[in-house]
Amino acid sequence: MFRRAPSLSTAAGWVCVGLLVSLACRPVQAQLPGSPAASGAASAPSPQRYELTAKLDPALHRVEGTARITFTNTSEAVLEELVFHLYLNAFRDRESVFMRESRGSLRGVRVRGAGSIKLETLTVNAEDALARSERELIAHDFTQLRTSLATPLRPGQSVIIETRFVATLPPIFARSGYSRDFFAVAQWFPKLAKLEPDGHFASFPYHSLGEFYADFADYVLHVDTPADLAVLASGVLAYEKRAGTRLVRRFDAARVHDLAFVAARGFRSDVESVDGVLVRYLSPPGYEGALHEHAAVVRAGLAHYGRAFGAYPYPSLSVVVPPRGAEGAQGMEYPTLIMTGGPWYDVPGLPSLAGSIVTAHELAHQWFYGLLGSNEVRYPVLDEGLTEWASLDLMRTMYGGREGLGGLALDRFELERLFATRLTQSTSPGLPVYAYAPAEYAASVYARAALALESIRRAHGRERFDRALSIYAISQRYQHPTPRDLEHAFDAAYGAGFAETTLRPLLFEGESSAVRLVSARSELGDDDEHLLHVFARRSGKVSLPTWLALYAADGHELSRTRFAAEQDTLAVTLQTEQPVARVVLDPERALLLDADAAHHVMQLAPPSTMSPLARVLAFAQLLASWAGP
Amino acid sequence: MSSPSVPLEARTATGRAWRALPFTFLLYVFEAALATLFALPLGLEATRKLLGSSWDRTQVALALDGLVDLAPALRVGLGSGLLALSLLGLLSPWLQMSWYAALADSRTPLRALSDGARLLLRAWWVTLFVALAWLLAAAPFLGLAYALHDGLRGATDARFHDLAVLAALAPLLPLLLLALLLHDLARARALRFGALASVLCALRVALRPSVQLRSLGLTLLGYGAVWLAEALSSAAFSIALTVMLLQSALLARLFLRSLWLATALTCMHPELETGARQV
Repeated sequence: MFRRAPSLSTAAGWVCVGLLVSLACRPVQAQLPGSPAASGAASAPSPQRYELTAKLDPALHRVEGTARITFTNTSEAVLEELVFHLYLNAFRDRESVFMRESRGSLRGVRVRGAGSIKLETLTVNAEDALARSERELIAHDFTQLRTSLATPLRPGQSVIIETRFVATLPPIFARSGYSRDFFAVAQWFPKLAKLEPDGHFASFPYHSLGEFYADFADYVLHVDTPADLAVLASGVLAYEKRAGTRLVRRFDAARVHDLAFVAARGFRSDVESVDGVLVRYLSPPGYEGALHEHAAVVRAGLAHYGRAFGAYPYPSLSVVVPPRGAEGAQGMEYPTLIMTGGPWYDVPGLPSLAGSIVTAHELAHQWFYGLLGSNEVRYPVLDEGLTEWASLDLMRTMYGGREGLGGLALDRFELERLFATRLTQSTSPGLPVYAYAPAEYAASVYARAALALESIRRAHGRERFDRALSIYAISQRYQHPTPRDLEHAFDAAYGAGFAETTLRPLLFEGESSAVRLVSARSELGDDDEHLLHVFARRSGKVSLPTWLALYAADGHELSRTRFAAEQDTLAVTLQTEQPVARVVLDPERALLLDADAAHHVMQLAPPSTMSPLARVLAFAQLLASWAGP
Repeated sequence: MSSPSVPLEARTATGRAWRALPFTFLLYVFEAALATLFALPLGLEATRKLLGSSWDRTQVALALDGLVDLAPALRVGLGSGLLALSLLGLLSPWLQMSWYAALADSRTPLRALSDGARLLLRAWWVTLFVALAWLLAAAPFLGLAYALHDGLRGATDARFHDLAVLAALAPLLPLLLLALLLHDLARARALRFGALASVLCALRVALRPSVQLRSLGLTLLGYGAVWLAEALSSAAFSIALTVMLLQSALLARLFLRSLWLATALTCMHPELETGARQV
């Protein structure tokens, strides 16, 4: 049951927290690497470390910050330069890559003002580096900064980078910004680009459809805000210290690759413990009804995803509901902090419309993105595609057939199929983000990828599929996987060659697997037995096994015949006790990438059924009577 | 020149409704024909796409595909439907006054239509006066809703904003129902009297709870019949039986509507209650 009072598995830690609130600053046992409560988190410190301070000025919508970065060359090459992301400069003007790609609109939210990040100082090992930095790596785009190193950095060596900067938040449009007294402070500090093993920095401008990629690091954040602002951040609250009318809070986040924080005035704070994870909620007033639904998803999700992909290793999770007017910040994930969405009310019978699906999705990102730090720009399918599948799977587990319209249980994957194959144009999910047109991105990377995975799961059975994903998720934890790593996991579960013949074409290359019922002819045999001659054919590059099912007029199944993956065609004569009224290919709906379900069905006897025509006419007459006398 | 007027027989409301059944039936046929014109293509497409006997996973998938495929037919249907309904809306004053004429006196449908045509202008004036009255009554609530929306727009509590605006708008629905009731009563009165006088007289009658209840009751009964027919038309029924059930319900609804209009006539011409015959 969701409750306001805190309750932790470690009682001693909570006693300390309770004392801290009322007494002067006293550091509690922080959830630093190596502490028992961080089980599953790094047992050794990360090679990279960020010590950040952020002083929020709500009136000016600005963050004055400092960063002290301990950077270790973990590659095999000698480094001659460093590359930073300055993401907030995407909102500096209309000329950035982000603004040109998005044309000032993202997910239905229009840009309403500018934002930026300006470095005032930048030193490397106490030597000025700002003067020799190159800020415009792409014409008119200032979201990357490259600085040469005075002394080349050998593998294993470290440098201390210090910077002072000012981040000006835009009105919330794309993830970061402010809306009245709500501040979503994300992508706000200069962050080093991901250093690849060969010594190059995987840097890129801030793309409108793209997200982020960085090394795992240990973060310490000191946030200084007015005392009446509630603050949640990635990581664990170590302490808070009052300084006049302001409050300084320290957050520690071990082995994450990003850090964001949220500050809000007049919001409701709630906290609960779920299987040893301290879950904090921050929601606008009036949200109590919907919050129960979000909390239910968090509880179920932590357990469900934990079983499937390995236990959530961090001691805390923050869930923020952005207020109305801050829709641009909804539906976003940061390590140990998620921004969900949805209205303040529940929709009876359709819990997903209350925002549950958003919470399920962003929570799944804690694994596919958070723990598996894949390159979200180069391989968006590895986080969005897998997350989309996982969230739909969670919704299925939680709500099953209880969610529906007019008594019909909704299969969410069928809705994804409509979206990806009939309502929009989807293409290969395996492309980098900048290769997609905005209209096809979601259909390809989210929906089509989820369908590809679910098709494999339904066609080949859930056990091996679940094992494959589990192998991938656990073996790649705290790594930066590529498609090859996912393929290895599937080969391990299904046998060598499976990735090449099935996973790669479906998930990364946009191929499909389809079948078609070509003919079905019934006749009476010599002894008056019912014979049915059926011919079916495959199309698409990938062959998935399926079934051929025969149904009687009353709807019950008469027989089922396997259409194996090795067969390109199926030509059978089947004998049944009763006349066959309907022939169905793929009755389990495994071939979800097949756009046209009509090719799977042949009706041999006219159905004694509903009469849509009579109903449509009756409804039209009712409309006419409203307009008439 | 005297203003147009229709003679009234002394008769109960039920008697009037039964007497006017030929006109009611003609109206039903007209509405059915108009509805068929714009809904038939969509209905045939829907039948083709959504036919199914058992709602298994395949059938649900087919139905979803069918709904998507219906989009072009739906667009065409909406367009032609709007045209048809607009036409019906324009004809509605004439048809209603004709209906009242048929209810008022023993006359053929053709004669009723002719009488209705004579009263067309008066009917439009009644609509205009009632619409103005509704706007005047609704204006404070609309204004309040806008003021609340504007004032609370910046508030963090979206629930409070939404509920406050809804609360401000809530009276609009009963006001609308009252306006529709007033409209029927005023047009009934307009059979023999001028538009403005009819509206003013109808206003007093419309505020009577007994009249409101009767109007609401007959309306709900009519929709209840349609809903029941829809519920009974299960997948096991043949199309002929489904059509018969639904069409009977629609005709019954129209009859109940005529019963209400007959009641309105009686309410607005109280001299009929004494049995006196007016010329």
